[in-house]
This record gives sequence, structure tokens and C-alpha cells, in this order.
Amino acid sequence: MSTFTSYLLLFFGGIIFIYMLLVIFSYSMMFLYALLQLRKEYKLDKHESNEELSDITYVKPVSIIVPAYNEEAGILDSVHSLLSLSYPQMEVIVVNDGSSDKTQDKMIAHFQMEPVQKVIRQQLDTKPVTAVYRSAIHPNLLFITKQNGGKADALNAGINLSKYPYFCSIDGDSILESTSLLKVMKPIITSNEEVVASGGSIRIANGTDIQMGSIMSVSLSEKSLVIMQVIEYLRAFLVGRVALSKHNMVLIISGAFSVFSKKWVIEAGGYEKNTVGEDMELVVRLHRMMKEQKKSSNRIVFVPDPVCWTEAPENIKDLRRQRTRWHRGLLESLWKHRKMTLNPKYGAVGMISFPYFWLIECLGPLIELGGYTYIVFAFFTGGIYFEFAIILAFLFILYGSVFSMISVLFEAWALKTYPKITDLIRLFMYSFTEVFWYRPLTIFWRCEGILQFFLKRSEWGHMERKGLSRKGLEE
Amino acid sequence: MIENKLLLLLIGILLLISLLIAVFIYIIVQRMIETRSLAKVEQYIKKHNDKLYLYLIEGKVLSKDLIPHTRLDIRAIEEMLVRYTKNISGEDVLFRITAYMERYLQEHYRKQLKSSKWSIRINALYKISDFRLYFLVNDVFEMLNSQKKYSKQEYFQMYKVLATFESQNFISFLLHPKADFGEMEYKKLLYYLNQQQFETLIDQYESLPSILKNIIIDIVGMKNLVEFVPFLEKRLNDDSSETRIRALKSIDQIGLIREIDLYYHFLQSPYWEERMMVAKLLVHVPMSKSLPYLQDLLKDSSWWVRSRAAQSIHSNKRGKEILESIMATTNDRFVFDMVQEVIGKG
Repeated sequence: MSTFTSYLLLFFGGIIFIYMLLVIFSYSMMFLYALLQLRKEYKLDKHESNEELSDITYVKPVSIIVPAYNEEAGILDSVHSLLSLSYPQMEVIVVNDGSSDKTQDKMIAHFQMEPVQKVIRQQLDTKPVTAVYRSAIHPNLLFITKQNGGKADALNAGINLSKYPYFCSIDGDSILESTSLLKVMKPIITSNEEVVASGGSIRIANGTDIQMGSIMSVSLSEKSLVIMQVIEYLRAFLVGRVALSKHNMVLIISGAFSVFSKKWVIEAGGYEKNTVGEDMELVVRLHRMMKEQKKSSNRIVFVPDPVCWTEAPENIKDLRRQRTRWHRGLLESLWKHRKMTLNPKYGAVGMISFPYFWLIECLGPLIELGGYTYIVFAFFTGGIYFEFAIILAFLFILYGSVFSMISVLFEAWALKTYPKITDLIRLFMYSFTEVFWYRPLTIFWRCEGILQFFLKRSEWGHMERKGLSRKGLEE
Repeated sequence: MIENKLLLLLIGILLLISLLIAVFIYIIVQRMIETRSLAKVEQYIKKHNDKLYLYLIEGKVLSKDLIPHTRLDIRAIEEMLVRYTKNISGEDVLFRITAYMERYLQEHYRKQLKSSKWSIRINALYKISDFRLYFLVNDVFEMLNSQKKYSKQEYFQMYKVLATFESQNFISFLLHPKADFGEMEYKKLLYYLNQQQFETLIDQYESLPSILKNIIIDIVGMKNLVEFVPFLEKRLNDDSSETRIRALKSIDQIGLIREIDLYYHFLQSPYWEERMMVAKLLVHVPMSKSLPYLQDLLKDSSWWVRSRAAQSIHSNKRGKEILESIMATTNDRFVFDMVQEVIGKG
């Protein structure tokens, strides 16, 4: 082999090596932080600290917006579960985004929807709204129909119609616990309205027993693909959000369940229609606004309590779609606001969150893919590369599996979502296998997302019409 | 050379993984022990619930079996007492609960207050206000006066204890807070004040920090304290529009308009919030007096003011009629739309 190729290999190996060290270092820091945080709250009587909030005099009214596109299968259940939330003052607005199925008929028949004359304040630009209905049984339930314009457009239409100062966006297929809304509103209520947006932590519902929109008992799914996702959510939760939230550096609060201050969102121009990651994009834009207006006391927070249960994809095909889409959305948001990267004007978000998301969350898969290729390649080449590849492989195990194992330890020790010991043992065993099959799969899909981002950019101008369908299988 | 390093790395990773497995096993064993103690607690509750019922509800002498000996006993009894306080109200029952705790759990809580763990301390503080553990108030005072630094949540809980027991020093603590409380926290604390304490605070109104001023105005409205309406009326001429709006809001909550003249100047206010509040307030005034003003407000440039004015008219007995005649005669598109919407709501 020529000296050139060997230098090249050494160079790439070096880059991957340094990258891995960087990632392992930042993950360790965040885990350490999560450890300290959870240790503090260990044995705290959570019930006590939440109870005092439900008093009507302190809460702020919320409009819940449910965008629906061809959701005839689940819409009634979702609305029922929302209506049963324990929250003193709220309205539920279901936005039918030009569905072609029976969503509209079902809603009208089941909740006795009656047309009302309503002046809509067109504060955000949306596709035309065709009708507004109000339920005769639940006066706080509204239903609007509009021309199809995508999820962001539907949410914007809901915001226009909403009458309360805060709104909560929610995916049609999510299940909330009865106290969820209270818990997510808690930072807003207790912060003198300094909190601009608040997001809840998402858990995977597959395997749990859900009846009439409420959680009866929690147990782990039998499917290995779902188990891996449970571990992944757990890790993402510990790594990013506990640590980042504390210092107002959250860039992702899930679109599946979060509350926003309407005033801020309208000022920011509402949801962006041109991206697949409208939830993250909005959060980044709000951060940008807060910093540009120099309102340092305003914050975006993440609530660590598990409050929203969502159905995870159970087969490879759906999971792949979800992941490529997520990754494309991430890249779109980062790209659109790339100016914030390493810009001291944007404080910790610009100096820490952005580089972190660029390097580790966004470009990480490319480097990891390189790493996996390198290992396979070096295995066949032998010699000095072989040994170097083994070192890399160890680092991969450390990164891919050990952190997942630690996450499961955290779950068993402090979070205690899964009461059954056998579930915990299964989680622990599976977490060890992550690096050998699940991790490469997701890396591959995320790289695919990056590719899609570039393909889409080249055909700019073609507005992709995307619906908002269930279980993250959007298309 | 490199092989040695490899070996080291391998050993390192294996050690790490074994360590993780060991910790995992430890946690699992802990969880199993925890599950077993929970079962024991349940068992204790089942076995002793009747005796506790006799003591708390029927007022019989306390059975000796209910004297706690172990940590698990305490846990079980606490659990039962919490259930009683949540579901049964009654001075006798509460008195007996407090009496029991004073006799058997006093030292236990005192120790908890001194614990080095944040979560244990805060749980104990919660219990003091929940179970009205007056015998621990002095301990809380000591905590407040000590040099030791506590967290904001703890300070809030301590203040709440003082407020619950109507402590004399509460107001002075309130004026020199040990933590940086927010509006909501102050609101909760002030809400517990008794009439006399509240009056003392209102007497000092002018010298209070603005956050407290605003909250006092809110609380007068929240608690419907009619006797303080004159106090609220004075606030209508405050320099800060925030204060004026809050005062309008509280007056609206109480629903007592003594002199309508006080409110006229708000009709021309540059702040739409003030015009909206007046539109809302006018509900409490006879329609014959308020209608001309409401009709003016119906043409306001702000959507909120128009909407409020239309609703205020609509809430009157003859409201629908009036609105319909406005709809028939107006040539203002905005007025028409707003009236139509309000009527449309049925």
C-alpha cells in the first residue's frame, strides 16, 4: 500500500478518534450533571409538590390545539382524553387540515358540533378557514375546518382562533396523564411568566396498558425494536435535556406535547411551514428572539416528569421514515439559523447548544458511519490499522452501549417508570447490544436524512405538501 | 507497545462493564427490598387501620399497637394519616392527628428537618403545614435565623409554615425575604394571612416593594374583600398602568361599583387593557347608564375591547335585542362582525 493511503487512513482514524473522545467527554459531563440532579430529588414526595398547583387561582388558562389530518381512527379518543385533563380553565381546538377521510363527520356527529359565526383574528397567515364549530355538549371544544396546508399551517390556524394567552400543541396520537398539563404549566405559572415555552418528557406507550386514554399499568413491550427506542429516549432525556434545560439551552422540546406563550409565538411569526421540523425550528427562533431583544430573564424549559405517552414505530420501515425525517428537520433548523453558531451574541445557546447539536447530534452520524466503515476496512487490511481499529471499536462500545447501560441504571435507581424487575433486566441486557445492531441502523437512517436535506435543497421552491398523520409516519 | 495499550484498554472497558453490572445488581436488590418493605407497609396498614379509625373518628383511646417502633411503622402510619387528612375534614380528627404526631413522631420530624438531604428536609417541611405540627414551628424559626443557607423551595415552605400558624413575625420576614420569590409564591403566602395581618400589610402599602403591592391588589379581588374596595379605588389613580389594571380587575371580581365617575377617564385610556377592563366592569352598572359607553367601546380600535364590550351588552337581559338592533343599523364592518359573533355563540 502506498504511503499516501496509509497517511490518509491514519488521518481519518485520527479524526474519528478525537471525535469519539469529544463525544464521550461531553456525554460524561451531562450524565454527571443528571446524576447530581436526580440525587437531590431522590425520595422527594412528588405528589406533595404538584398538588398545590391545581388551585384555580394560580393557574393560567390554556388553549389546546390538535392538528388533525386524516385521523378518523383516533381523533375521538384523543379528544376525550384531552377533555378529561384535570385543568381548571382550558379550551380544546381541533383543526381539521383538509382531511379526505371522515374526521369531520365523526367529530361533528359525536360531539354535536354546531356551526358558529366567529371573527378570527388573522394574526398569522394561514390557508383559508372554511368553518368553525362549537360542541353543544362541551362548550370548550371547538372544531375548525380549513384547506390543507400542512401541520404548521394547521397549528397557526389554531393559534389564530385560540382565546387564551398560552397554547399547547399536541399530536393526535399522544396520551396525556390527567395531571400532565398542570405539570408542564408549572414552570410558567411559577416563573412570573418568564418562561416562554415549556415541554414535557415523552415516553413510549407500546406495551403499557391504556384504557380510555389513561395509563393503567406500565410495562415493557416485547419487541426488541421498541425496547431499543425506550432506551434511546431514556438516554436522550438524561443526556440533553436535564442538563441543557437548567441553563436555558434546550433546542428541542418535543412537538408531541409542549406549551408556548401565544404572545411570543405570534411575534415570532408562528410555525414555519417550510420545514419538516417545525417544532424545533420554532424553539430555535424563540431563542433567537429572546437574545435579540436582550430579554435575558426569559427562558425555555423542559419538564423532566414523564407526562406524555406516545406510540413508537414497531417495524423497521416506519422507524426509518421517522428517523430520516427527524434528522432532516434537525438539519433544516440548524441550517436556517446557522448564524447563531458560535455567535457570542446568542449566549450559551450559540456557544454551547449550537456547536453541540451541529457536531454531535447532526454530523455525528456521518463520522460514526466513517468509524464503522474504518473498522470493517481495517479488519481486512491488517497491520497497524487493525490495532487502531480495535481501539476505535472499544470506544464505540463505550459510547454506544455503556452510556445506554448507565441510562438504564438511572431508570432503575431514580426514575422508576418500569416497576417490574424483569423489565429492568431486559432493558439492561438490550442496552448492551445497542452498538452491534441498533446504533448502526439509526446512524444509517440519519445519514439518509442528511442526504435528503441536500436533495431537497437542490429542488428549492417545490413546496412539499406534508400531512400530519399518526405515529410519526408522516407523509 | 501498542499491544500493551490495547490490553490495558480492553481491561479498562471490561472493568467498567463489570462495575456497571455490579451497580445494576445492587440497584435491583435495593428495588426488591423496597418492594418487600412496601408490602410490609401495606400489611401494617391493613392490620391497624381499624384501630386508627377508632382513635381518629370515634375518639377512642389510642391502641398500644399504634405506637411506632420501626421506620416501616412510621411510614405506614404516615401513609394512613395522609389518607385521612385528604379525605376527611373535621376539627376533631385533625386535632387527634396532630396530637398523635406530637406524642410519637415529634423527634422523628425534628431529625428530618436537620437531615443533610434536601429531599428529606423538604418533605418534613411539607408535613408541618399539612398536619399543622405547631410544635415544630420553633424549629423552623431556628432554621430561618440560622446562618445555614437553604434552597428557595425550602425557604418558601418555611414561610408557608409561618403563614399557616399566623406567626407574628411573618410580616417582617416577608419584608426581608431570604430568597428571591416570584409573584406566584408571594401570592400563595399572602393568601394565608388572616384579616388582621392583612390589614397591617395594607396599612404599610405605600412602603412595600411593588411586587407585594400588586399581589395585595390581586388578593383583595381573589378573596372578595368588599371592605377594601375604597383601597382599590385609590389605586385607580396610580402612576403605573400595571397597578391600575390590576385594581380594575379586582374591582370587577368583587363586582362593586360605588361611583361610576371614577371609571370614565379609562374610556380614553391609551392602553387597550384599561379600556377592555372598563368594558368588562360596566356589566355591574345598570344598562341604562352603561349602554352609551359600551356602544362607544364597540367601535374601539382593539379587537379585545370590542369583544368585551359586545359580551358585556350581551350578558344583559335585553342584551340580545340591543345587539340585534345595533347590527341592523351599524355600517361599521368591525362592529357588525363582532356583534354577529357574540350573538352567534347563543
